[in-house]
Amino acid sequence: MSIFLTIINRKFKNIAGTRYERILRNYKEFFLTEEELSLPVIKSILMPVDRSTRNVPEEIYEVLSACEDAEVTVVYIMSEDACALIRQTLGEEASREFRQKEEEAGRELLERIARSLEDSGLKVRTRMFFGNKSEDVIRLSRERDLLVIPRLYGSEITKTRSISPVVMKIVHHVDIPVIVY
Amino acid sequence: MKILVLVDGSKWSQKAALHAIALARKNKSKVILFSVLDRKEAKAIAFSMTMRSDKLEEMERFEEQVWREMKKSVKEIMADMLNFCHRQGVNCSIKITEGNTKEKILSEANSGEYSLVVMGAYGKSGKTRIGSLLEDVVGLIKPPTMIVR
Repeated sequence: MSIFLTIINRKFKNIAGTRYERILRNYKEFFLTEEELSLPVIKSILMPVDRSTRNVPEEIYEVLSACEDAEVTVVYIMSEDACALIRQTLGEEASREFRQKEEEAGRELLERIARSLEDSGLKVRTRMFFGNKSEDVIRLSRERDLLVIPRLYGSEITKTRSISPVVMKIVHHVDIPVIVY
Repeated sequence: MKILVLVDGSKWSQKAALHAIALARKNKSKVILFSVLDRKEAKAIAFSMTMRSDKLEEMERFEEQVWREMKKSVKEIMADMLNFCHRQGVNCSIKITEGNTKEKILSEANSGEYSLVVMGAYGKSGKTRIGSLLEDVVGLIKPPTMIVR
């Protein structure tokens, strides 16, 4: 019967009379309350990128340019697990080489995206570190208003799905709006 | 820029619309409020309700009644949202269609007209789990897709 809920919401005060407060409390996850009926303001944006991010579509810059005065943190997280695996299987030298190549790729990507974001009038910060892509994005999202993530984030090797399992995990666990591109 | 908002009448789709309106106000975009009416939903409600009340003979009549209410309800919700958009100074229009929800959404979202698709993370059953529709469509929508909580 959930289809009727929005109608009840609108006609609520007349139907429920003095029981308004109690019903509102019990059914709050179905109602958009008057307090919630305000336009959201986005001040802080998290934008994780990795090797799957060849190009950020023009539409993303256009959308983000609407978030006036927002600060975008572009973050390049390199997989600590991949690095450890290479060290265990191929040795220290191969691991060092992997780290170096990852850092070079990350720096180049961060600089390119930061330039385009600044051209759209946004304040930009960049970060690069070794960690766990899903866990760290979820953690960093807690202090942000919006997450903007490529749909193949975390799956630069296998591209068999239209959206990566890492992105689906992140979408399930963050509490802020997410733009998937 | 044109923004497509998927509206299913839930609190989450209304929140999605608020985000679309906020973005559209800033960069003068057009907002399209889009809703799909699926007859199967009316059938499911009619079946579930009549099974519980042992009034199977009234199932079809009840289905018709639910279907009428669904159509009326969507029109009312969309009209309310349209008014809200206009009060915020946002260029907005509504589009209501009938058929399979997933197919209609994908066909509209991937028509090449839109720069952004905005949808709620949860469905009409509330914040129990990520909406199954979202899991079905989000990877198949070509434009960037905003998922709102």
